[in-house]
Amino acid sequence: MKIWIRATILFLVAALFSGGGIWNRHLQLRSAHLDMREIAFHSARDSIIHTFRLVSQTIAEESLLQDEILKCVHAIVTEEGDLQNYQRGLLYRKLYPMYQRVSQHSIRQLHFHYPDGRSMLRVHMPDRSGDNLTPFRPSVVIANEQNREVHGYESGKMVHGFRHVYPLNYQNIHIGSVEVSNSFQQIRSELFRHNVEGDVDYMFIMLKEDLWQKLVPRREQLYVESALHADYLSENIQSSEYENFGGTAKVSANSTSLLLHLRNHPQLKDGLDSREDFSLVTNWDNQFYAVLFHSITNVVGNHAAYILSIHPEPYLQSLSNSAIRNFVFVLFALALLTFFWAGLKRVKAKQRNTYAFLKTISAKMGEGLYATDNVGKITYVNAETTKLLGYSKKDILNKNAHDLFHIDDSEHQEQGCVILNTIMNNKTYKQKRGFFKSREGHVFPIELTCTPFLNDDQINGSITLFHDITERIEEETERENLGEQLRQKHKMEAVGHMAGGIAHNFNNNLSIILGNVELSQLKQAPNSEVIPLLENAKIAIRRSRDLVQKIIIYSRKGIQNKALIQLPVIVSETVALLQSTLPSSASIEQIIDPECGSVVIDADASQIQEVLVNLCNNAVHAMDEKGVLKILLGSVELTQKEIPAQYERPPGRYAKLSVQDTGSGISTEVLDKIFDPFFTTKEEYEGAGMGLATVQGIVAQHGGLIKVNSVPNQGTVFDLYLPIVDAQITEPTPINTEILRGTEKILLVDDDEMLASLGEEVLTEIGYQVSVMTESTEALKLFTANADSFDLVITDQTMPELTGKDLILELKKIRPDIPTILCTGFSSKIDDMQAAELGINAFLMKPLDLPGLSQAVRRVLDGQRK
Amino acid sequence: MAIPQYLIKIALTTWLIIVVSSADISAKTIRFAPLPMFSKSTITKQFSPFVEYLSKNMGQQVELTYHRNYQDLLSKFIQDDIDLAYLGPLPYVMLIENDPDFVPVVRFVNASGESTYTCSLVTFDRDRSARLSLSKLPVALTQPFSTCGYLMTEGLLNRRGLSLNNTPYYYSGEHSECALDVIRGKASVAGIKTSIGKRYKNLGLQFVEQSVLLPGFLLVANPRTLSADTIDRIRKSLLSLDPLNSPADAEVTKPWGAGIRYGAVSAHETDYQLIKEKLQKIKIPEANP
Repeated sequence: MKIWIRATILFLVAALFSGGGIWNRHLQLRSAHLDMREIAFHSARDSIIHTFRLVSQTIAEESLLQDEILKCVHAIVTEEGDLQNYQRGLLYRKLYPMYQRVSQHSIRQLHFHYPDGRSMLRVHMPDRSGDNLTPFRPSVVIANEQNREVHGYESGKMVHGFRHVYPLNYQNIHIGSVEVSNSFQQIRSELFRHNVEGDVDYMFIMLKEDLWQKLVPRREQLYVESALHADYLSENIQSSEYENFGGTAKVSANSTSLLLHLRNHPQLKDGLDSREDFSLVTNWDNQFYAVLFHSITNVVGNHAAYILSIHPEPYLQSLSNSAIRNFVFVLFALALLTFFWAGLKRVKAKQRNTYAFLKTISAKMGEGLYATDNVGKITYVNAETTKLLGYSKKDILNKNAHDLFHIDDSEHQEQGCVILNTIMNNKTYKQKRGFFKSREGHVFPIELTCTPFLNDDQINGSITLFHDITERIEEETERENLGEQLRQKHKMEAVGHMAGGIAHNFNNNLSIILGNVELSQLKQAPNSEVIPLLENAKIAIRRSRDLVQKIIIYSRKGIQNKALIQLPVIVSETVALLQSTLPSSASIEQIIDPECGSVVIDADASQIQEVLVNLCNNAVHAMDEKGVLKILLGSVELTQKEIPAQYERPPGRYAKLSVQDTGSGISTEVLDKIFDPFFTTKEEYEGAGMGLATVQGIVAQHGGLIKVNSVPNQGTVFDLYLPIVDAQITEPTPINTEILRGTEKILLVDDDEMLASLGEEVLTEIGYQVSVMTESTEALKLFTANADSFDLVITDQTMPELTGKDLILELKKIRPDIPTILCTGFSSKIDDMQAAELGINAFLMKPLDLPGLSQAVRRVLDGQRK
Repeated sequence: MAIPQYLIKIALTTWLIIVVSSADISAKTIRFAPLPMFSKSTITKQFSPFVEYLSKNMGQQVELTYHRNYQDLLSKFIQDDIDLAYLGPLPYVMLIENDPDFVPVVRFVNASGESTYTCSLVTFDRDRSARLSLSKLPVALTQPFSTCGYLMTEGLLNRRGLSLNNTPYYYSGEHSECALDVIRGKASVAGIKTSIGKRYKNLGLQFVEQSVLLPGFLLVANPRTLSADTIDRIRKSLLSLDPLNSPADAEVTKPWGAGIRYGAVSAHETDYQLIKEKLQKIKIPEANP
């Protein structure tokens, strides 16, 4: 929820509670004030009623309960007819002066009753007597039946009053009762006298159900419905009848209007229905009034009327104004508080966000972070720190970082914690490689940055960031190794490239020599003494060709006779061959994993044999012709990670051929150079230094890789990995050495004039008609002019201007069906597969021997393609 | 010198306009004045519903006016400042003695349906046959203009050979007060309406003399300010009510004063002949002695 919405809700709730509190306090004060009013009224009312009772008592004792009066009453009770009337008249005559006097003050009615409850004499209304009062006047009934005084409010057949009824007894005979009544008007007058403020008005309303049914006909006009409620009556001030009863309370027009206004007060009905004391406060005509309803009970204890005291209330007005002022002030204060609270919350929320942000960074940064105070005690750690150091937060907080996990820098050990010292000098301490110690005592390398923590420009502590660099160091080491391997690869590629160039020229020369030797042999008589000499020359030429072939293999461009072979068979044959050549002081042990008995690889069998022989010869040499040489064969599943970067080999299943000796081992310095061409540790006559270079070249050309592990004075293991193929072995085709002849017309193109001439002579010798061209552009012109004159074109690859491949492409444009043979001593531009794709019928490597050349020519001319 | 014809026509036209206008004005509002027997508020309460009834029934505005005393009322009546008045028998007779033009409209009846009453001499003396002793205590009278007051009391005393001329008397104002004064011992004798005196028989009040039947209160019209038709319509509107027998009429007259709410009968000047004769014989002093 937005903070301002929360603030608004908070403000409203607080305002509600504050308003409630202020209103409650206002009500309490108002209630206390009204209670005081109530108490004051009750005090005054009780005092007045008590006074009236005393007055009545005095009247009764001094005037009514005198023998003369009692005798008269007794006569009325005992006499009948005119005499009774006469005695009543006499009683009236005796009492009238007293009644006239007291009626001017507090007495409203003076009424004598027969013992049976009938009216004997109403001094205030003497013409009416004899009527039965018992249904309406319980006070009379009680006084007569119980012969005791009765005091209280009571309604009657004509008017109501606050009555004091005394039983009358004459000569111990109950002769009736007499009643002295006060009107509300009289009580009201006394209330006015008691009210020193003089601003209070009083009213009297009577419960209709207590009064209405008692009234004799035509007396109903004495009452009117109260302005407050239909259940209540008030005296009809318009009625002149009240003149006979001491008048009625004249209510001011202001009070009457106020009552009309009060009629709609929401609490009025409930108050009246309660029939108990209650009060109402109302604002009328811009002034506050309190109207107190004082319940009046009749002589039998039932609610019968209310005396209303109406008070103008400037105090309540000021109380209300004060409450409003307080509320406004509180609202203002709350608004301010809410505003500041909201601002504070926003700041705190921002701080929380920042804290959460920092905590997230701290938790997820992948670095250890801890904070210390200015004496090095740890005040904060993140999860990574506890993870790296192995301590729980509880274990690490408030501990000294230096004591707990710092590893002393030997250079600064005597200076205490170099980290702490540095940051206390307000400097940032950085360490590329340091060491921390975990809880278990494991020391691991870390890189750290420690920054002083400032508070009011005072150094308050430090924040240290660190991370475990074990992995990084390993990666750096591996990267360094990888770089070295790549450098080695580039070096080997450069050497290979150079070797390829040398081989090309060398092969050309060898081809010339070999060709001429072979021609010379052909031209000699069979028993010529020269022939053995030429044969020796051919042997030397072949050795040279083999050497060149090794160079080409090393440069990975040599011609291979790859086929699917069973590696265990090749290994076994080679081991058997080697065993016959090993000195007796050395033994060879072959261990072939039974599971790789049918391992098949796509390889040149002679080259694999050459590899194995080379490695074994080197091993025997390293063992100084003593010890056990182990040859192990198995299969492994290499992952990418296990394949050194310089090899760029796919992961997969490889045959692992290991040659393990127990020799002197290879030093680290030598280990980096063992695959370099012409590098050797042997004496000059022991080897040319091409053995391991050739091994690496052959393995590389077979999609494999080599790993060497050597421990000085313990031995060396060469692990060769060759990719296993999932295929069946087919039987090899036997080599054909026959020289085939022909008569077709051949265009021979070679930029080397000697080779061109030699080729012309050899091909002519075996029956062909040969046209020789030493410039490819000229050859193209010749062919363009005589395209149909040639049956075959034989061309060298490496030539200026047009290469052999380009020349053939041009010739094919002229005559697409022209058979072609491309020859090369070495070329990185084209190989056998590419030549086939270009439609070249045969691709031959120099130096060419006669049988091979004659078979290739014949095969092309006859439409065959190898 | 002969008066020009056109001037005569103008004068006649002007006179007609004035007469007609006056007649219209007088016809618009009837000024009614009841006898001031009670306070102004009581009179207003008792006669306002009556005036409203007349206005509604006549289709003509009727105005209630109040006068402080009998003399003032009668003077205004004679001066034509009042059109209609509610009067007692004696004030009516005194009025027509001064100005015989006034017309009696209706007489009102009491709760018993009677339109007449009697006056009595009352005392507290149990020996009614004994000679009245008037020397020690005064005689209590109601009012100078009350029929049962000086006029009839003097007549009743005369029957016993007594007279107010040589006896102390006073006006107490009301019949009841006169009766109670006798019981209280303030007066030896009182002259009051018989019906009122009977209320106090329970106090031993004794009746020693009683007059003949006398006509009651009546409504009197001023024929100089009200047309005969208007007077007739007033009479008919009141005579049409029979509250004692008709509940509907009783409901109409219920808020009226007690002296007028029970209905009315036609009134004639001759009904008051006896009082007229008495008044010619007995001179009523104007104030208390």
